[in-house]
Amino acid sequence: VIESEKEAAASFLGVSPGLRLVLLDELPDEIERDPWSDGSTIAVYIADLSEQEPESAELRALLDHIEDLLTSATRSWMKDWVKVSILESIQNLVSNRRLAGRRLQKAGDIYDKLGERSREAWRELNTWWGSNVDDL
Amino acid sequence: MTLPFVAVMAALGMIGLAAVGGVLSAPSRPVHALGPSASAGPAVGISSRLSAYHYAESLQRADPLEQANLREQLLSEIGDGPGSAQLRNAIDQLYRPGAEIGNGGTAAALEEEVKLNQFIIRGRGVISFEHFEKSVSLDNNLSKLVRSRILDPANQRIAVEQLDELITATREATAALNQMADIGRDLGFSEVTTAATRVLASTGEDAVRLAETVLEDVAE
Repeated sequence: VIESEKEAAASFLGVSPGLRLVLLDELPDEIERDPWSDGSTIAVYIADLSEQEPESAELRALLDHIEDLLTSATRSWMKDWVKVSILESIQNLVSNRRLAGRRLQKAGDIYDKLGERSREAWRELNTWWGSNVDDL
Repeated sequence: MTLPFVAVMAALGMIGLAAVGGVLSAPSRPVHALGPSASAGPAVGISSRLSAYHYAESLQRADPLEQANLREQLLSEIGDGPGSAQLRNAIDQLYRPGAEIGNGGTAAALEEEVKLNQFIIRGRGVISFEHFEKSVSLDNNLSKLVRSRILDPANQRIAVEQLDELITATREATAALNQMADIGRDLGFSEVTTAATRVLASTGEDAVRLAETVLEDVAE
């Protein structure tokens, strides 16, 4: 059972060896970890992976893990963390990079690979901001 | 784009009457609980208040094209060099293309949440600050980046400007959180709501203190 954002962020360490290296390289000290900063790192990693290896098992595993966290979330903080820290950062990163000609894949390409709960959170963000970034 | 609270209340009074008559139908946005405070009280009349609020607020929104140009200009100004990838990543995450809220930045989202929650808590609804902790985290990361002095002067200037904008929003949100904790206590909300609000506020105070120290150091 995950009891905090910190534990939710740490749960990603076991999903992807590549992401584990990046997270631990940035900050090896588990106590000092900031889950919102980790969420940002996770978002960058997923955005990069979706551009470089869009059909990889690693990307599939990471997106499935996001879905698992949202499905098992019994507290609103869990959904908030996944939604704002990871999904919103992915949306912004991907759409900004694409607008700047720094990537080919659209935000909508990632949306298509998400699970049901993740898509719901993604759409909530589009509604909240009044901007659908999927096709930018 | 901070609306004076009194002005919004006045707008609500006028627009609320029109909404009752079925003249207005502005979309409402999802509202989520702050921690386990979902038992704080019934959300009576919240949706109609938010609809009226959004209509009043939408009149103040900026031109999306102008926002996009500003953001692109900002991103194009980031040169290469140490720390530039970190700065570009931070700004890529900070801004949302085409957003209808302020300049599409996280600071604007936080300002929006403060305004929304000031209405919600008065209606005994469940408050939510989805962007508060993201802002605090970005405050801390930008503070560390600025303090490291690894950026070249032009990039350092951009980072300082971003940090300044973010801590202004964090400072205002922190004050609002403390105020909401007091309102929650006065209205007899659960202690959990008050406690959770205080915890968030203290996190914001720490981030603002760090950022202020860093900005003073680099200004010297």
